[in-house]
Amino acid sequence: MPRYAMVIDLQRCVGCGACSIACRNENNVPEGIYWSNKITETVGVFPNVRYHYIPTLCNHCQNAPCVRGCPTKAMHKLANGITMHDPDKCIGCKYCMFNCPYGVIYFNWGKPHQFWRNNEELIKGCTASPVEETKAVDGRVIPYYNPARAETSDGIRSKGVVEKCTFCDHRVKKGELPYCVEACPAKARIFGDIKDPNSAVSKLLGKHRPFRLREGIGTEPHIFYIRNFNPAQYEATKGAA
Amino acid sequence: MRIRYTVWLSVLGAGLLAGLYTMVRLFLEGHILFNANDVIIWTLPIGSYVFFALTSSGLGLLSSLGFLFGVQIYKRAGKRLVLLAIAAVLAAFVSVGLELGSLNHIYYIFLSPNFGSPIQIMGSIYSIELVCLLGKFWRLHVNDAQSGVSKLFGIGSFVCSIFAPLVLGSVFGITEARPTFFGSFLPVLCLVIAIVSGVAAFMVYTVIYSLVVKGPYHEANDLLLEDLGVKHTFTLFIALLFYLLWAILRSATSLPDFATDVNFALALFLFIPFAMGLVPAIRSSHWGKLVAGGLTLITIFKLHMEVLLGGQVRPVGPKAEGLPAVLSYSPSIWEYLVLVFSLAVLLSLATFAEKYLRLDAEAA
Repeated sequence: MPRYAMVIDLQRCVGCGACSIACRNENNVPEGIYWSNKITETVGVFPNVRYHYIPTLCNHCQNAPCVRGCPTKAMHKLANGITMHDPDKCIGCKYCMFNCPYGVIYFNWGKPHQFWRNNEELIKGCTASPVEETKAVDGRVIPYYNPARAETSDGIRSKGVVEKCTFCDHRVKKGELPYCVEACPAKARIFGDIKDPNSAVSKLLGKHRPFRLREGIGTEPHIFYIRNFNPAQYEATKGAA
Repeated sequence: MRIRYTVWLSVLGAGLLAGLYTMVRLFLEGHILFNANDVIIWTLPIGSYVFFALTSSGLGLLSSLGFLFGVQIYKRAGKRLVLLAIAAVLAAFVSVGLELGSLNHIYYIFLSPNFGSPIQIMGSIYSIELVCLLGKFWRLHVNDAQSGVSKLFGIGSFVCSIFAPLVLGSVFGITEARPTFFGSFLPVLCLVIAIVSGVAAFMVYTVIYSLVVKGPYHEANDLLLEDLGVKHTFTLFIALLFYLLWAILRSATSLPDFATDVNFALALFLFIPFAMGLVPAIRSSHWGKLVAGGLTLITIFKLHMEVLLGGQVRPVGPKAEGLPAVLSYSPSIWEYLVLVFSLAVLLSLATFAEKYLRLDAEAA
């Protein structure tokens, strides 16, 4: 059985956000919820400033605190290392969100996709209502509904349950790449079996020194970051006392 | 008297109706009605749950003094203590039930239990505690505190009353993501707070009962009230010490800026009822007990909210994007109504039991 992991090459990543948009479309992610997200940071004082951009998603930790804390096993590990969530078992206690050190689990506070549930026309007698638009293209709740998501979990999660990245388990199951990986125009995301020494992820991790988010707390995240884009030049110096 | 009772029942009825209306709205619209978000996840209803659950454990422990250890003055109050412990744990269940996003999936707690989860363990212990308390009440109601079955319920309730606060503390304390909860110490603080809450709640209840219901019970209760006054002052001092110790340990082992957020106002409001208890004239007066006990309960509720929010106000990871370093929170009207509902359930059960269940009867 493989153990899936992802390497994110920060030198290749241009911060375009295509991963987030692709994820949203593939997994029918509602507004306000981000399975694929980012951490940005500006450090230094002008003119010596630098902008950091770190794409984030569920880390599919080996020692996942969300899984350990879930009272109903709604949050669970698959044999291939994916941290999966079963909305049917979720009681909405939100303890996984509380436990997650990475802030990548979100809660459906109300009915998801509120905009598309609106029956009112935007301009009366002129435009269609969001509900009509969805019906016109045979969508479910949203016009861009992807039925493939429902192959392994709820197509659209209901109110009162949490949701998060599943490494596109429904695609991986069919031998396809997670959709954020597929959509990345810079090939900055590399997905594969970390147990296989010949996989692309294993080779990259052998070649570059990776870092992981909050490694010190022992969760064993399986999102690895390598390299860093830095065009800055500086004159060799030993500083001054 | 009759008019006062009718007004009291009307207030309770209004509280219950408001709570039921809140429940319906929550089921229809979801927790968007709360002022919670993906950063501040657990809010007033959880604070309310923690308060009532710990108070129930404290009341359960106090009832064990008479039921299990034979302390005479608590034997007489045993039935009332057990009833209040039951009412408090049910109030806690109301709060937490309305906080759950998908209460309709709750049966998975039994069908698919994760015994490694502190929430599962806490839920199990509080459920067993409720069963033991009901059993204890049944044995007291049939005037039997000595049989094997009674002892079994008594021991079960005593053990649960100790372990439940410890596990409740660990629900917060073992979260990797929340350094401010300071894991190893929070369960101990919860146990101490449970004892203080139980003593303060019973002292306030007994004083109010004595003031409202004049009768032979009022005369016979002086000894109990005097003992509760002493226990309240003593346990409050320990709670104050433990709160300060927890704050110091937390700030010494966590990020340096957390050292600045020790709430001295809260410590002061724990100190005031303690100081009141040191003055014999205040400690022995009904009004002194009422004010000191009431102040203790309000401060402890505030302490629960401070502990709860303290671990959440700093956004984690990508959720910090575009947000300030520290967030603020104030409850919505619906969150207040959950608290009102829980309180109404507790007081309704107590009112009903006082009228129909002979709470003054002492078991043999």
